[in-house]
Amino acid sequence: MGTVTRLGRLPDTTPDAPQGGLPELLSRTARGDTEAFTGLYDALSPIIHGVVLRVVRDPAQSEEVTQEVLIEVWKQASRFDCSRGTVRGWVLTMAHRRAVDRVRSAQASTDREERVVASEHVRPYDSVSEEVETRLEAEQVRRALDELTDLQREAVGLAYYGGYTHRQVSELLGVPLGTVKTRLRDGLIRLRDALGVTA
Amino acid sequence: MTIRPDQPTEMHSMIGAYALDALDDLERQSFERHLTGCRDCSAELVEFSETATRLAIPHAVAPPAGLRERVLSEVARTRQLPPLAQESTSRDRRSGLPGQRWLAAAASVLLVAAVAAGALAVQWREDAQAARDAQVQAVQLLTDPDRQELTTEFSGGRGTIVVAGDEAFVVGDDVPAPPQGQGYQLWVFDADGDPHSRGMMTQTADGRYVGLMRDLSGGQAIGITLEPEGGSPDPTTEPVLAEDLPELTA
Repeated sequence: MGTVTRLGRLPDTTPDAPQGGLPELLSRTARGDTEAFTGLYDALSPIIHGVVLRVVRDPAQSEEVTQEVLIEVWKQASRFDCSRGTVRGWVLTMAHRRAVDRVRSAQASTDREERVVASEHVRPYDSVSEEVETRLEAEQVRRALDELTDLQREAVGLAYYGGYTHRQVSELLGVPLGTVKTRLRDGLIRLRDALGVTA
Repeated sequence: MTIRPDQPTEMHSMIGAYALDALDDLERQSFERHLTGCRDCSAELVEFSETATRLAIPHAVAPPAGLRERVLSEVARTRQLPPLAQESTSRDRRSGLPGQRWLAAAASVLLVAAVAAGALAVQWREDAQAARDAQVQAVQLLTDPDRQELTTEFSGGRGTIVVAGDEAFVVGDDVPAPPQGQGYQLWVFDADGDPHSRGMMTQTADGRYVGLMRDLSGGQAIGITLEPEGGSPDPTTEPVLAEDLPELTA
């Protein structure tokens, strides 16, 4: 393992602190600082890769999409608008969208059916440091998910982790589209409140 | 009862799906248009988006060790996007600019239909994902409420340029086919008058020539020249079309 710079509290679990961490790395990256970008890579690549892998499933394609996302972070570093959210949120939104786009353009229907049945298998985070904070936050998210109704959790899971459109979710579950929309929105409300996410 | 997708209640109800990336492309665009006019949804979305991203946290998995080097070496040869231009305090672009010929959104409705139907022959034939992205981007550009359009002469035919954000979609109707082995190359000229290539135009199934130009920030004008099919680093012929750009909004 090469030398890797670990900086303080990463990733940001609270609105970006002005004194450093991801926002600092990103603004340095925007000025072309490749060392800062390396710091972003080290801090963010596991969660990017994790969500991509969860949605895309295929390891080779997941690596490709992860790489694409990281290159986009590099390219668009100057475009991040800190008034619109956290660095981590920005990156994960990008990652999830790309993963979903990849899955939808692939259109392999047998693959997708397998994914519906796949279990909630959470693979351990491989790296050693920063693990405690991530594990704590992971636990917090799992507990928050418990506060959803089974139906809400199922719909949210199919949409977010399965990469399905709400119409596809409605077809998969055999319920009206309006019902799915409501479950997704209500599920997000419960998650938001359980996690204490505020604008 | 037919539910039109732009009825307000129908729109609001899509916010959860939108935050989870569970809308298809057209629904996503409709909802994004809705967002520009709905403060409630915009505010709720900020929280929902952040909440949705938390769903990724329990699934962190370190990528394979080789990825780091691959990413870092690709970064070394990848240009970054420049920051967005500062808000212009000078001209209101709606009121008589040098581009008085640049009109607020008008005639691109037919173009939207053509592009959405797949008539856009893309410059990215080898890459289906990029082709889809380009098509979606073209439709977004052509339906942007702040877009500006210009119609001009193009080799005896009609050139239409639609600008939104820092991108432009260029269409040539009834323009002559380039001579064998040549193509129409797109250029953006910066403040120093230096040209920067923005790719070659391609021909659609219905005989038009089209091109999607990205990253026009800082550009003062665009032009089209006839070049060898693979493109030239710099223009080698006189432009067949040259127009000043309006004030870009991004």
